[in-house]
Amino acid sequence: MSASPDQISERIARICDGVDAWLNNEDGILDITVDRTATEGLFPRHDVMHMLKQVSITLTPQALQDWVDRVDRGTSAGTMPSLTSQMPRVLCLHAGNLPLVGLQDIIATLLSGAVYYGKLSRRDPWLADGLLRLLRKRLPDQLGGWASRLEELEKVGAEKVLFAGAESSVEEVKQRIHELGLASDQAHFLPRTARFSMAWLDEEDFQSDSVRLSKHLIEAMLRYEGRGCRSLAVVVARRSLSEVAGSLADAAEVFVRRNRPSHYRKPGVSYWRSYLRSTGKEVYDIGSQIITDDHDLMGTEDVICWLTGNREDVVRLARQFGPQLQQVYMYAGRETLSRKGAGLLSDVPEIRLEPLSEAQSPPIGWQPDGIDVLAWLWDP
Amino acid sequence: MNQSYTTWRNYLFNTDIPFDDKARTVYRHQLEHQPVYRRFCDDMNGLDENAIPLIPVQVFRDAVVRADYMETPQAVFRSSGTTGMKQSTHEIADLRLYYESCYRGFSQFYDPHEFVLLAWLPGYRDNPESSLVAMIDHLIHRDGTGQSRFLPLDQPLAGADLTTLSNLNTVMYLNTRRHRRSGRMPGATEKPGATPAKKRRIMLFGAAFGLLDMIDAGAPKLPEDAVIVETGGMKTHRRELSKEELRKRLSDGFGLPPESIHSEYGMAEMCSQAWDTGKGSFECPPWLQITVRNPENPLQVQPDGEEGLIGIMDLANVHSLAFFLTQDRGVALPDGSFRVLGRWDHAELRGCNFLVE
Repeated sequence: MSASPDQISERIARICDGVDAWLNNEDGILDITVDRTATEGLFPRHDVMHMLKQVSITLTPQALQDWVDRVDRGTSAGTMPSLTSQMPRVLCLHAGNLPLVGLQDIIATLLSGAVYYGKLSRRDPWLADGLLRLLRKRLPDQLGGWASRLEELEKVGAEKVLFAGAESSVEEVKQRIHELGLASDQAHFLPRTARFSMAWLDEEDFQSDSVRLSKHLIEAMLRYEGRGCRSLAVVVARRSLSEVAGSLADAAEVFVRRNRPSHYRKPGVSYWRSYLRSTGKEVYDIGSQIITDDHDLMGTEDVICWLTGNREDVVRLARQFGPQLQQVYMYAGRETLSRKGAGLLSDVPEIRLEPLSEAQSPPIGWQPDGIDVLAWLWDP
Repeated sequence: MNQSYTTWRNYLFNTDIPFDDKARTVYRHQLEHQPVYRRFCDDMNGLDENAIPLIPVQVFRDAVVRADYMETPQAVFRSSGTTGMKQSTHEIADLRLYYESCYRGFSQFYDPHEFVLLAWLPGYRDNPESSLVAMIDHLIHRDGTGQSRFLPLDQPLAGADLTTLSNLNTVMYLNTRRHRRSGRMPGATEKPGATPAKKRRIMLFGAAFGLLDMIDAGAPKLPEDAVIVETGGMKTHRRELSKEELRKRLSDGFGLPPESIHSEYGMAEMCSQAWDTGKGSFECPPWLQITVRNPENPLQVQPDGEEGLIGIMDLANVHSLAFFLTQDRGVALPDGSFRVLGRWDHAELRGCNFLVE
């Protein structure tokens, strides 16, 4: 069975209708699930509202069609990928939050024509459940089932499995999934190993509009409590941390006033903060996180590292981080990005450059770990 | 307790005093005399008054760790490090305390007079400030037979060495012990009716990568009662090998049973060492305590069996910094021993992880 352009369009329409219904609070589902998410302390309300706003902007019929077209252009045959006679089953093991990878996995699975099965994140069981219920009304054949515990899932023998985890955890996850009969013996697994993102700031970036730059940096650092792989954890810049600390602190203050963190500083962060202070290192508070120029803490949760360096340092770090790095942000619009970043990471092809302003509001077809999930799902 | 070096030595190695009492004494002493540790503790608001905080091991690299009463260190140890990497520096105020800690610790787990010690440490021997070399050098010098030694780097180990060494007998061993008590020179003929002679066993020390290279170069099989002590070093050379795999390769390569592959856990920042005598986990001498800490809150001790960061309480570090948190991943076992599982990757806690959930 091949998926014709009409079938794809129909699928896109149904997905978007389901998402619209969700955003428009059909059956009161959104209000209830947002409340539960916020009151149970799973995510702060402001982050949920930000996510919903981004979904309404980025998840459009045109955006989905563009995504399909991009994948279609990328296939070697140059034609729309065909599906097997039986609809493939895809198991999504969600972790963390819905807004970015989780939402994309659901949409990509449905867009690919596969049947979705999901193990919902313990950190986000309500919002995903609400969306899935409304999508099932529109695409009943494609919504297989979902649960918060693996053991509660039907033994579906999925052909493809998407999950977030460290490279070292892949074998353990595979074994568990096979033990429970959730995937077939020949199933393909797509582990997402990226942990954080990095930014590169040249001298000219500081000369244009430093207030706006700081605002974007802080949004990239603090949104979603800095937890996702798109969150900014390392900055390489021509200017030192002490030179920008003031404007960053101001921007952070504004952000935190509007978006109160769900928790105060974690004990582990306080611990490192005390250490940095006791050894005379530079360290500043930004929300519940800290920012420092100590390179040793790169990758540490809730710690952002600022390195004074150049383009070569960006490349060196990108290579050093390897699959843990999601992408490198630059202070540029999408239209000027390729010109500005020309040659920067040409030797590190798996790392993609993205505009800093899109750190926490990516297009629906963004590529976790540099892999287009729709292309992966369509790849036989 | 602000006493002389001798008083500290007597106090720290006194096994009649519980570890916790000594730890608290050392803690109070360091709060008073270690400025960087005092600043760190002062900055940790809301600290449980019974807690002894562990400062990150990086302090040995980021700051001058020196008690305010120490003018000139008797020795300085530096960590191994790759080019461009800043090394840790451990200033030793009382070298005798260091040596005593090494020797007493070793003697807790082995009878030094039962072994001839050989050491194969390429990559370390050219570092005059290696604590590992200093420790083994001291153990070698304490052996009265004169047979213990560092193996020349261009001639690691030959079959002839082994024949000579394995023919050494305990006449020398017994006399050496008696010599310590009586002051007689070792090597004197044993009187008729003395305990029957027993061959000395070979104990071969080596960094993991060096021992593997030795096997690759065609090292001879060791006598069946020999012991290999690997001293770590895989992380420095970035070779990925699990502990089990390493043990198997050393065991196969030297023709020894797996339980004869032992390990030492130490570092430039420590005056004491923990030992794995073949059971697969490390044990500490009475003045050293290892805890495994929660990486998300290093003030919290992990339950047995749960992975975390290895925390050190080395009371022999009384004149430098006794309480610190390493970057090593470890797990504590119910019998009080611990395993080292490699380096901790802090980034694993970042982002989404299905298994962590």
